[in-house]
Amino acid sequence: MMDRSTLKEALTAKPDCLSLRELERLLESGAQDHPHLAHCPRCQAELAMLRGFETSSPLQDEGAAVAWISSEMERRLEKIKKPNSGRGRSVADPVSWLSRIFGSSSARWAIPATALLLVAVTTVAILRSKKQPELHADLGTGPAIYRSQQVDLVAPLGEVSFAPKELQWKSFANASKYKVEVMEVDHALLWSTETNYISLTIPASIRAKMLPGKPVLWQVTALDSSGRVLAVSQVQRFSVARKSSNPASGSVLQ
Amino acid sequence: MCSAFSTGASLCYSPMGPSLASQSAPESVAIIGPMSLEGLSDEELAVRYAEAVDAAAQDLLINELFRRNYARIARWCLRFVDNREAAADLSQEVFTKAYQNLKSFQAQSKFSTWLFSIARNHCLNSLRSNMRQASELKGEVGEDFFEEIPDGGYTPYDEVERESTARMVTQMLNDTLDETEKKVFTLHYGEDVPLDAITRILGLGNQSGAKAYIVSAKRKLARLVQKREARDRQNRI
Repeated sequence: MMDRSTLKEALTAKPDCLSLRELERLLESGAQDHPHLAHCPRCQAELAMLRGFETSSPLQDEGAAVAWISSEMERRLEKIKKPNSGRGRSVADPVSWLSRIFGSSSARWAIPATALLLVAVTTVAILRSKKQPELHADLGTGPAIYRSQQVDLVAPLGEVSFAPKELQWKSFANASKYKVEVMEVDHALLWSTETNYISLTIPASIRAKMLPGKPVLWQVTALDSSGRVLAVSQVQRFSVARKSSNPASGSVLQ
Repeated sequence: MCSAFSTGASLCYSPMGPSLASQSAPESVAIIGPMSLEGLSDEELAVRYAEAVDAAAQDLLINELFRRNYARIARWCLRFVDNREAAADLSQEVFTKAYQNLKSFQAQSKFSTWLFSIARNHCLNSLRSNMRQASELKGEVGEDFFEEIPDGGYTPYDEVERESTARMVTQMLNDTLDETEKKVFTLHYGEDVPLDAITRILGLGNQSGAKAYIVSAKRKLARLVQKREARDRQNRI
């Protein structure tokens, strides 16, 4: 009996299959009666892919994504030409940033002078200050303020009208990527992925699981470039609002 | 300021933008005009890029060449992944590969065909290396049907056996499936492309996309196998 690998091998390119140049010529001439093409499912599939690549127009709701990716490519053009400098959304290179400032002849003397002035002013201010630090009566009794190391989630939160297309959070200092987890209410994992961005498009297959009234949890973990956890967000919850039924109808049949 | 090409042409910077000039008459540089880059085909840009001997000229040419193809690559990569961020990363990788190999472009095919070969291979390899997608692929359709297909014979020579199996599979597909079913079947089982990606690659407009075609193909092939088995039984009797 045939296993999958045998089937796969049977469907891959054979020595007599058409080259890309030959497929290109067939595509340009519009000829469909090539003797090999007529009987080779593999070459037919390749030709269909080449046609799709050459003539494709954006699918429904795809135009905005194509425009966004095009602008991203423009932004990443220098990275494309220097691929070892990293991948994805770039954090400004500190060396080039500093060299730009210190490389400027007009700023070369201004930066150290400003630093010296700041040190002098601070020293004078400390020496002149003889007042004892104030003690507040409510010290320790007011509401606690936590300077927490956590990622702040932006949206979606609470009840939303429609299954959200995107998750958004605030950037966390020094994070080079984020791990995003979407969970059922019992913390069973629905979807987990990593991204270099502070927003993430939710795949349609996951959105389809966000049924009205069903709580969905999500959490973001900030990671550094070696994958070490820098901070974790709280687990946030949202749910798609149930469509209100018509009270006059008496009952709603499900 | 002009940048030189090994062929003798120059790319000049003027207040009106980049233009091409001939070096054959240096005392009266013939500036073709600020729209010259736009007037060049993709293939000409790629060839001139390979010929350019200084970085500034190369930059102008490659930037123009890539800008023309951003949307094409973006659309292609969006067929393989379901969010724009991943598609942008995939697009970046395709352009990086194109950049690294651009000097190998011989203009024997269209530039877009050359770019397609890079984009096709990179996106398919990326799919295959993604184990999560591979496991999803297994769950998409039942795979028991091709276990019903007999191997191509009992010859001791593996090569002959493989060829025989390949011929038999091709024959079965051609005899049984329609054009779209054959393409969907080949991409899914031959190239491991998930069904939702096939739906987008082939631009299938029906409601359930490639899944409908693979289910139909599977049903037809199972019927064919049953018929063959019945015929074999009949022959034995």
